[in-house]
Amino acid sequence: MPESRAKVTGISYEVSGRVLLDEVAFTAALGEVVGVIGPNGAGKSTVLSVVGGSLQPTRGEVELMGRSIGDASAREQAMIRSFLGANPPADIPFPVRAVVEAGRYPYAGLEDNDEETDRAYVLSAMERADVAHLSERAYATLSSGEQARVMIARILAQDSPVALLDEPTAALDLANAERAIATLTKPGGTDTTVICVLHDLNVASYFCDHLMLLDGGRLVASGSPKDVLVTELLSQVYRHELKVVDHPFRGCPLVLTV
Amino acid sequence: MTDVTDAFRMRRRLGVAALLLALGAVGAASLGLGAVRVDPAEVWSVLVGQLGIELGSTPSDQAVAVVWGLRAPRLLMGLVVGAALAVTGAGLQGLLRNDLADPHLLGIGPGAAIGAAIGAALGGVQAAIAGGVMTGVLAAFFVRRLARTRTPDPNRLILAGVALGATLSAWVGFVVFGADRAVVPPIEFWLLGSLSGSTWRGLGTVAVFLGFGVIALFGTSRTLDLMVLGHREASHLGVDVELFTTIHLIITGVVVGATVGVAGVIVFVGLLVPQLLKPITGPFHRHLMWGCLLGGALFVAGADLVARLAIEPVELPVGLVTSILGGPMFLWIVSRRRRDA
Repeated sequence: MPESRAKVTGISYEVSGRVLLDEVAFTAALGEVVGVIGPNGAGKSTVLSVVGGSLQPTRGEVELMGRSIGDASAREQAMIRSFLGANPPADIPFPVRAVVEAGRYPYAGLEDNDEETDRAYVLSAMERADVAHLSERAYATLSSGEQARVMIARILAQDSPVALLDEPTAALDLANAERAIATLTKPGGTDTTVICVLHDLNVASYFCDHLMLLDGGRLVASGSPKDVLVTELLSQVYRHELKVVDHPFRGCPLVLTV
Repeated sequence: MTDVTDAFRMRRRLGVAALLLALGAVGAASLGLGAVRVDPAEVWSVLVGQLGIELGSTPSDQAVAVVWGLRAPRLLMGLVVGAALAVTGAGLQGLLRNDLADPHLLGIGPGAAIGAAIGAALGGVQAAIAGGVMTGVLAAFFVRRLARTRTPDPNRLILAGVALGATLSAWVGFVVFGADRAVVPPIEFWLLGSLSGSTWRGLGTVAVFLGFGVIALFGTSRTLDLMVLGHREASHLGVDVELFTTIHLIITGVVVGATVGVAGVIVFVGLLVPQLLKPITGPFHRHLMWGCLLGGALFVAGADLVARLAIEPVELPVGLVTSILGGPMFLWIVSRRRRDA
């Protein structure tokens, strides 16, 4: 039994009588990449916000690294988990380097952290996300794809044991999306647990160890991509005729529209 | 391409040098010019005389009374009030992620003026400062509520602030007209601002509030940078956004309240100075706030010089001068924002 990094027990979230999440439960292990999939309005972002501590669940409990996330201070939360929200502001006047450095903010003033350490993390994060050459450019002047890569570098620089990502590839073309997800999910030697909302089911299929399929706030399937990505279930959940075949050379399920 | 870091480093050095030069010029002019003209040599001997150094020529009693008794405290008051207002403006613009944020436009200044006028009615400049600080903080809390609405449309926040300011300004009128006219300064002092009542005593008290407040605001500069990344992003990165906003607005209320207690509402300083300086200092708050410290001091002291000299012997409220410059600037920012959107 691998060490459990995230343990989510029966979380529900209700806003003015509307049930947005209904008893969602799961665990994620060390180094595991969990994809959260489902149609629009299924509650994917809400799950992520509750797990990250931004929203207090109406019922249920979230434990990250053995700590109840709701009891942790904002700074403690930031040391346990990084969080990349959907649609971050684009009008940021700072140079790229400063945006990536923001990922080091939670560690400011800690004894075993100094400027040297911060700089090393920032440099390596920028190189891995392929934004080192943009270091001194103002963030607001970048293309949306470049901005997305800078945000990914920020997450890498934060280097927390759990990474929560909401649509990190929404602004990226297909090649950049795959590169970005590869950087985030196989972060070379580290053992980050990644929980990631994804719209592209084929990206999810290839890069995730485990998928959670949500529909109307409920977890309708959970398991390996082979278990979750099946023709009948997907067609029913997405209310659209879909077909799942074997990917000709990746050995994972391939989801096609019919 | 836009290599921001190096370009700003150079610009900052030139900018600081230019601001210091201009401050020197405005300071010298402020001490020497006016209804009684005192030539620079005599100004100099007054100043060094006050430090206990005897120079060859002894200044006349009149020169000492005018330069040291009236103009020096007034100049210094303009410098500290302007510096403080500009730094709070820079802070608010970062905190609320809004280029149009300004303590007076948001209604904090007019709110402070109510308490300051009540304080003045009860007894002197000390009470006016204390009253200004109290109702300034209250008004800041009100702005906090406005800023917390679910869809924080930046333009709507400003609109709400302007409405709040208009209402609170009317209440200032009720206080002023209801109080003893011989004790409480007139309505134009509060709503248009003036440095004409500056004394060493008032300067000493207000400097304590402003000193602590401005140091505290400088201390928030790194966190303000994170707020610019987005409030949601800041909270993900470990900022307790609610708590930080509350503390920041309390400090802002204290600083603005203290300035209103001694000089009334001097509009547009907090809006204009950070906007003008951002292209020179760059976007980081630690640089921007230093620039605002110098730029705000220069702007208000310079505006007061114009207010004193423009239509001698009549003295204009200093807020009229800052408005004449600030109003068009405000319109320019609004139109530029529309183009960007």
